[in-house]
Amino acid sequence: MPFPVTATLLDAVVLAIVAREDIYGYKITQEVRRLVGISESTLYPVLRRLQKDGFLTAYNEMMTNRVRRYYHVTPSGREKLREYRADWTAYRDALESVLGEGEGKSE
Amino acid sequence: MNAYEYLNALRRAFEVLPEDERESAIRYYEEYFLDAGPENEQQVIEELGAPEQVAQNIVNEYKEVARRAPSPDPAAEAEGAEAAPSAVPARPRPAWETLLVLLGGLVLLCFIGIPVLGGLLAGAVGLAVGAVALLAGLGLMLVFVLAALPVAAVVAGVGLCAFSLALFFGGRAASGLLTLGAGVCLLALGCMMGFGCVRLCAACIPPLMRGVGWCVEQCGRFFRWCARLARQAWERLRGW
Repeated sequence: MPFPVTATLLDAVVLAIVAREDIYGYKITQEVRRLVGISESTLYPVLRRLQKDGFLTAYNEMMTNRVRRYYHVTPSGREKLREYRADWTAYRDALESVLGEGEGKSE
Repeated sequence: MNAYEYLNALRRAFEVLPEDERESAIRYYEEYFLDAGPENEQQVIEELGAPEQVAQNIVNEYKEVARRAPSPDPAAEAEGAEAAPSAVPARPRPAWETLLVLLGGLVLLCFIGIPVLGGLLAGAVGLAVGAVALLAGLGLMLVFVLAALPVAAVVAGVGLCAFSLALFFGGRAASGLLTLGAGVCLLALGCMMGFGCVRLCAACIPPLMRGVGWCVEQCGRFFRWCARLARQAWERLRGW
């Protein structure tokens, strides 16, 4: 994907992924890579920032032989996600109007 | 490089972070490797990139969050994640202000810091040396006493036995027998005490050595803590 993903966009994507269901670090990375294809393979700073801002919390899940840390969206996180979605829709529509297929006057 | 080495490199690079941040970060990557599975170890290492780089990003992010205002600044956010790893958005300060601070710090150090700290340090070292010397002296005394008694008893016993032989040859059989008896008793007593002392030492010395080792370890930890404090102060001064 040639378009760089800004930090804000990455925050929004991660927040949206966690909002779907509680999820752990490695899986988030897999999902982000699948969706956006970015070379950014480590999301720890993003997760930490979202936690510090109060949008995510983390908890430990007991597994058979180890503990795994899961992330969960807080109510304020869902609120922030609503904001992001609103911003995204406006942004997307604006870009679509100029970059989208079938638009523009080139012939 | 394998996961173990990678994580160790990360751990070293994270040392500039406070303890809980460091633990949290290292734990994330430990779990990352675990979840990726051993078969993907090399791929993960490749994708993550140099551990120093990874750590630098996280340290920069930590500094960014530390100075962030309640409402996120979009410019700083974008810069934070996208900027070159070495760039930390810092407020530029006039050169003369930095110079003044450095000068003030130097004066403080010379007239207050060094004498006070130096005195404290010398005092602490003196106390430590004194304590060690006292313990060593007491220990030696104890060892000497413990060793001397059995040895004295054995020597006395042998002496008496030899004297008893002389009495036998001198015709005083009764006295000789008595003396022999006493000598053998003393000999036995000395041997028993000797064994007892050896057992005592065997029981006491390993815990003592462990105690000494613990003291040495605590000193090491203290110095490492001091070094970390100094490094953090330096980092803060640099980022000023």
